[in-house]
Amino acid sequence: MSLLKATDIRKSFSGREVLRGLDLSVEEGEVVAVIGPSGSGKSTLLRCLTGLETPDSGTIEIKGTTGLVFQQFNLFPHWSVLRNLVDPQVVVQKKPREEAEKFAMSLLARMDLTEKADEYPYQLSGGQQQRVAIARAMAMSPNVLFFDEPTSALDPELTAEILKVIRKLAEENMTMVIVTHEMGFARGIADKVYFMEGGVWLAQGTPQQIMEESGNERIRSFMNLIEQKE
Amino acid sequence: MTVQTMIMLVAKSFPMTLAIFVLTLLGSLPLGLLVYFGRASRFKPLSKIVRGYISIMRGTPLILQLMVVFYAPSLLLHINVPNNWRFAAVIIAFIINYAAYFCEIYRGGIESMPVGQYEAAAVLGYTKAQTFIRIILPQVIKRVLPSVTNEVITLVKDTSLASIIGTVEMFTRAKQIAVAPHSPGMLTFVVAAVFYYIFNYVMAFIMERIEKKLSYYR
Repeated sequence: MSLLKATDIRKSFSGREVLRGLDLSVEEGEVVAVIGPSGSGKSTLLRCLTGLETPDSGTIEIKGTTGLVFQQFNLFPHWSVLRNLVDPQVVVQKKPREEAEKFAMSLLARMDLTEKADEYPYQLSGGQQQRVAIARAMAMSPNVLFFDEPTSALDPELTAEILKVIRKLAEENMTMVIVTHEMGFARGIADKVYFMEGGVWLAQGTPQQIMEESGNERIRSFMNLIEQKE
Repeated sequence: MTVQTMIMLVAKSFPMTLAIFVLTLLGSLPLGLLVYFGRASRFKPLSKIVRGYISIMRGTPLILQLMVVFYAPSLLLHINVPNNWRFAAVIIAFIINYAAYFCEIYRGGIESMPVGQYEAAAVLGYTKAQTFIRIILPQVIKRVLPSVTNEVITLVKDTSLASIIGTVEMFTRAKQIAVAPHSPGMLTFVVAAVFYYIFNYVMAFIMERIEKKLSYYR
């Protein structure tokens, strides 16, 4: 049973078609990696799936709720780490404050941030901020968690820190869709890899199929380019 | 008239200056936000009217606006104005003038907010109203505070413009005393200046304290 099923998603911005008829289905507990060159429409797809953009056509069915982790974290700077996690639960989900705080503290413990609960976002490193952002998304108990290039604003050391956290979530069977440029990571974590270019899927399959055995010239040259960089 | 008497008389007119100042802020700070919503409205006629209003408020002298608000009802519209109209006219003119400036200050602050704040809030499920009140507005207040301080300080001095329609605030009183027989003359204006300066010094101190209070985050 698919947790997420998107069919024939199309989206244009001022006449330029960014998404040109995309299908995507994600099973419960599955980790999907979306890769591809910049500007191919990966972010736009996530924004459509999380409701930040409305597709021009196509259908999206999601069983349950979604969460999104941004490239730029987007924490609320005027609130402490704890309040960033508690306020949405109390205000949006109408949870009792005590319960919300307990859940928030348990999430912070999982992110190894217990001692940062009362600090403000500006006092944290980029990696810590992103971990708070992941915890904030988790605080809403989403059925699917989306990541929009979660490590692109971080240096390599902090990137490893975030990838470790996402790996842990995968082990806990969190359903996730991750837009990433970290190929090694995608290969290691994803059940399925989708390669996007020009608003369509150029290929989809297991990480091995896409990254090692693809006969597609375009995908092979992209992989080579990335591997040289890595 | 002794200098002491003169100082006493000037001091006695200070409450009127203070009243204009306080009532103007109480009215224009919230009205400015309302004006901003009108200006930002997607309903074009409303947005255009509000822009026109802001343009006139900022493009003509406040002293002239004071005269229009005070005289227009009786001279132009032939309405019998109540006895306390003078004071009401001063407050109305100041509020609608300052609201236009505050609107533009708020606009600068609101438009400088990163779009990511709205997006994060939307994804978490906050409504638009919740997003504005809980997430955007508190950050905007911090951002616009230095500009608001500027307006507050200007307002302290602008209260003296109420003199043009005969409101007996500190400046009007100083003028009356200065020309009275056997008064200390020009010294009266120096004393009034000292009053304005101290008032502003206190206001700047208070605003600085508020800014410090909001500096717990970046």
